[in-house]
Amino acid sequence: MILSDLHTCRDFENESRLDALDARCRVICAFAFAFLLASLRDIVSLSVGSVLPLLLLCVDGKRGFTLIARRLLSMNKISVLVVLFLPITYPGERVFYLFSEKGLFISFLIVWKLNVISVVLLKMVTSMGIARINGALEGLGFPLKLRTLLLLTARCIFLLSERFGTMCRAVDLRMGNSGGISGCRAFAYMVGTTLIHSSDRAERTVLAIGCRGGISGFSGLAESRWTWRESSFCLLFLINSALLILVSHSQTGFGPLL
Amino acid sequence: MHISEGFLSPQALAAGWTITAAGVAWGLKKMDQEKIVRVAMASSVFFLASLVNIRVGPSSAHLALIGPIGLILGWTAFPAILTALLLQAVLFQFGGILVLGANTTVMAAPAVLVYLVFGQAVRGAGKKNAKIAGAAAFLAGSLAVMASAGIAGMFLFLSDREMALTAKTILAVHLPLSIIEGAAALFMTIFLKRTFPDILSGVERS
Repeated sequence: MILSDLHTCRDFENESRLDALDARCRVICAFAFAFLLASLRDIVSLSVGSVLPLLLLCVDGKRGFTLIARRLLSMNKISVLVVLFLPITYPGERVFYLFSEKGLFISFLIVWKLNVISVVLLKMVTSMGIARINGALEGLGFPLKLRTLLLLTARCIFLLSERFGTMCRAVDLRMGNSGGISGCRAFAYMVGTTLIHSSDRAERTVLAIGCRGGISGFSGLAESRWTWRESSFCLLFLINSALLILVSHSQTGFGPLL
Repeated sequence: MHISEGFLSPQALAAGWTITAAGVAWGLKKMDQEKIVRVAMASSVFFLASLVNIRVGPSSAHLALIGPIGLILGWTAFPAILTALLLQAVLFQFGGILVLGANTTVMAAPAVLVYLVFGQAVRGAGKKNAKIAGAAAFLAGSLAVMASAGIAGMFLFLSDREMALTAKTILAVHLPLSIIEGAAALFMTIFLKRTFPDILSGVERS
């Protein structure tokens, strides 16, 4: 169980040099570039595409690098599964009677892409934290209901996690490490009880927020200014993307998106 | 159940985002503003449930509760699951940001499907027909997982036709999990029907 991680996850929201940029600019550039990276299917293009993520990785010095590296390490646990699972189920010529040669290459590309896309999104979007992401969504014209839901869910998670943690401990004490149908029933009742217990409190919390000026007031605090700095940053990403499309075109003979 | 970054082609990503955008728009339209906190609560439960492992034989698994979330939220499952997955990606790097559209479709579409098929049976059944409600809840929980695995497999197949066997394997792997999810949905529905039946009345505007 990693409920305790919820209380440490805020450590990730550190000061970054990228914080000087408008949140909308960061989200737009990150999504466009990550989408382009997802379309690459050869090693040369991916190598060229990895330059910018590497620069982003180094932008905040050693501390920023360590934070991202730690996140990538936990994320790469899934890579082990990919490397084992995909080559076995993929068709093609076999290596060691079990692994498909093409499957091994595809899983290698997937793991590579997983890492470079993650660096871009971790550095540009995730590290902003919920409040700035909400501000970016507001700036990009996302509906108020969705943003309200995001803020309330973030708040309810911390509210419910305390209750959930207590219930988990109680179930552990009563039942030990029980599995099977009784474990399943205990889990279902625990979720139901948490929902009931926290329901009243959450509704009171929303009423209190309403008294303090409403949920929509939160995002109004976020600054959004589009200056020459944001435009230059977008231009840099655009040039890099154009270069990447050219390299990919020269390698595969098609545009990367085809 | 989460598809990671790097797996899907741009076409599959675009398809995922398109379905999610349509589902979220419709879900938000149907959502009762007064009951938004209930949607947030269900979204948080979805988030937290996937952090708790329960022992299954020699291994352990985390439940997604797609069926119960669908039965409680209906169409609003789309914005609720999108929000929960965004927070999971931001806080724990489960799934990812770029594949958020596909992952939301993978989990929210089955939730809406079970709501449309089994919602009435679960909500409408009185105390006398508790067995019908229980059976419907079990099927809802169970089929939601299988549908979810099926959609995930379809996304992989859409990205690369040669991943057909991988997609079939994903479906087979989820078969035992679907039974456990069905049992969890059954117990949770029985519990909520006894103690807090109001929550099963939905969050949509009448």
